[in-house]
Amino acid sequence: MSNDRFSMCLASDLFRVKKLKSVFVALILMFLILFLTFAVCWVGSNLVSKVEVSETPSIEGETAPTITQEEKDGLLAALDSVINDSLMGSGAICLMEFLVMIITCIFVGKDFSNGTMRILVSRGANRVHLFISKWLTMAILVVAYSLFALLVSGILYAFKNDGSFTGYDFGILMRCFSLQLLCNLASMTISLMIAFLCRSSGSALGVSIGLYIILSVALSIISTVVSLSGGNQDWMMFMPMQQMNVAASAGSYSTDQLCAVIIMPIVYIAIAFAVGVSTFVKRDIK
Amino acid sequence: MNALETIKLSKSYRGKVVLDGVSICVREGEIYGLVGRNGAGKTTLIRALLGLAKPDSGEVRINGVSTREGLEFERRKIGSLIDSPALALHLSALDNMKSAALAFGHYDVKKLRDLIERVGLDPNNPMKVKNYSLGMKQRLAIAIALIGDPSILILDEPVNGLDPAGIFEVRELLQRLNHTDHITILISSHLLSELGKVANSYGVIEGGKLVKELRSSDLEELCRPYYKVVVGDLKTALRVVVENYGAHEFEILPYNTLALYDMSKDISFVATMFAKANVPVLNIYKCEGDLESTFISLMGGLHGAETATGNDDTPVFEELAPNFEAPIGSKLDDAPEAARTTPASGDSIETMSVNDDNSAETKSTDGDGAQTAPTDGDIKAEETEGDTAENPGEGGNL
Repeated sequence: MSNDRFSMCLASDLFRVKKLKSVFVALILMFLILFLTFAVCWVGSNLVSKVEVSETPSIEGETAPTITQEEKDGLLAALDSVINDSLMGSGAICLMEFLVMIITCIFVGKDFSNGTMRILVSRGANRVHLFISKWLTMAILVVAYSLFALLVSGILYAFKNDGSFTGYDFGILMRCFSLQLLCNLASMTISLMIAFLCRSSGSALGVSIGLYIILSVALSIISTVVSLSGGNQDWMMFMPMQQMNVAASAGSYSTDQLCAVIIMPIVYIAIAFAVGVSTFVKRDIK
Repeated sequence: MNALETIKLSKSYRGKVVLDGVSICVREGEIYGLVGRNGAGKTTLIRALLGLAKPDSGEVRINGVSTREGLEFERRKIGSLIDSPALALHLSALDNMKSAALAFGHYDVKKLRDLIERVGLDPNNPMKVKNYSLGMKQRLAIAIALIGDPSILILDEPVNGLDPAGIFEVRELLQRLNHTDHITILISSHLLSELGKVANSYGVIEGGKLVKELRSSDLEELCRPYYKVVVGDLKTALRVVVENYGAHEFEILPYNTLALYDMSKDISFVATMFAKANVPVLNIYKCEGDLESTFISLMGGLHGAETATGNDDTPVFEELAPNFEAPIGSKLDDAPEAARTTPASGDSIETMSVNDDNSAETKSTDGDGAQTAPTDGDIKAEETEGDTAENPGEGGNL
C-alpha cells in the first residue's frame, strides 16, 4: 500500500513537471547555447584556417590582414578548446546545473505556495515519500537533460571531426558525462533541500542563487590565494563549486582527484537529503 | 461512531497558545460547523486534524484511530479545502484534477469531468486556473476535495469569494453530499447565517479554547425569540415581570432592558402590563433570536469578553430579587448581552401606543418605522424589521 502511495506521488509529480513551462525553456536554452557556441567557434576556425600566413609579423597600415603560422595555430587551438569545452561540459552541461537548480526551486516552491503539498499531506501522503518523489522527479529531469546534452554534443562532436567519432572520443565523453551527472544530482539535491527549507519559489531561488554566487566568489579567492602561495590545490576538489564544472577538466584528473569527484557528490547528496527530509517531517505545513 | 475527534489538543506557535486543550467530537453523518472569530484557532484545529500541524499535546482521532500509520490511512478518506484553494495556477481545471487524482490514486478522467461539472465549471475550458475568479477557484478546490469519494469533508471557509448564487449552490451540494452520500462534513465559516443553514452541530472556539459544543436543538433554544423592553423604572418593572412571568422566562440586560421569553403573550399584553403598573416603557420590540448574534455572544460579544460581562444592572436585580440570582446568572452566561442588545435583522415592525385608559393599540409598519422618543403616559412598542431600529441604548431615551 505504501509503495502504491509513493508511485502515485511520483506519477503526480511527473505530471506536473511535464506541464512546467520552465522545463522546456531550459531545454531550448541548453540547445541554443550548445549549438551557437559550436557554430560560432566552428565558423571562426574555418575562417581562421583560410587566412593566408605571412612569414613576417603584420605591419600597421597593410590592407589585407595576415598572421603568422604561430598565431594561426594558437587561434585555432583556442577555438578548438572552446568547442571541446562546450561539448564536454563547461558550456551547456554546467548551465544545465544552474537551470536544474532554478527548476527545482520553482517546482518545489510552487507546490508549497499553491497548496499542493498541503493537499497531499492532508490526504495521508507520507512526507518522506513526498520528498523522495520530488527528488526522483528532479533526478529524472537531470538525467533527461544530460542525455539530451550528450546527444547534441555527440552529433556536434562528430560533425566537427568530419563524421569520425572514435571509441576514444566516446570514452572521454562518457566519463565527463557520468561525472557531471553525479555532480548535477548533488547540486540538485542541495537545491531541493533549500526549496524544502524555504517553502516558496522566490526565497528558494534567492537563497540558491545567492549561495551559488557566494561559493563562486569564495572559491575564486581561495584558489587565487592558494595559487599565489604555491600551495596544493587538490583539496579544493572537495568543494561543491569545484565539483560543478567537473566535466570541463575531468579528462586530466589524477586518480585521487577522480575519487574525490565521485565520493564528494555522494556525500553532498546524503547530507542534503537527510537535512531536507528531517526538516520536512518535523515542520508544520502552512 | 465519531468520525473526527480531538482530545485536549494544544498547539502553540513561538510561545503563543493557539489551541488550548480543545476537545471536539464530530459524529458520523453530521455537518459540524466550526465557529470562531479570526485567530480563534479554527484553522489550526483543522490543520491538526489533517496532519499539517503537529499538536504539542493531545490526540487526534479519525474514525476512532489515533496511531500515526492509522491516521495516515484514514486521512486518505478525507477531502479538504483549507485557506486559499490549493491549485496549480499554470494548469487548467482538468489538469489540476488529473494531478490531484494521480496523487490520490483515483485517476478516472470521466469521473473527474463529472466532478468539475458538478461544481458548476466547464471541464473542457482550457483556460489556466490563474485566470479564474476566486469563486471559480473555490469551486475547483471543492471538486478536488471530492476526488475519490471521501467519507469526510473538511472545509475551511468554502464559500469564501462566492457570489450569492455560488453560495447557494455550494450549500445545496454540501447538503446533498451529506444526505445522499452520507459524507460527514466539518465546515468552518465566517458566514454564520450560511453555516446555520447547513450545519446540525456546532463548535464555538474563542481564544484557542472550545467555548461550547452545540447541537441544533441547543441552538434553537438559544436563538428563541423574545420581547425586548426598555423601561424607565427597573425595580417596579421587575416586580411586574416576576408576577406575570416565571423566573426562567425573562432576563435582565444592560441599560434598564428586559428580555421576556414567553411569546405566548402578545406584545400588546406586555405593554399593557407595564402600563397598568405605571412603569414607563421607553421602547419595546420583538427580537427574533438569530444565529449570528447568538454565536457572537458565545464568542464573548463584539468587543470581546469584557463587554459581554459588563452588566451594570445585576446589582440592582440582586437587591430587588435575590431569589432569582441563580437562574438569571446562568442565563446571562449562556446568552450574554451582545446577543440581546441589538435588534436582530429579519424582525417585523409593530408600533404600539397605550392609551390613558391602559388599553393598547398596535400599528404595524413595513420596516421604516422610526423610533419615537417616549413621553409620559405613552408607551411605544415596536417590532423591528431589518436594521431599522438601532440599539435602544443609543436612542437617547435612556
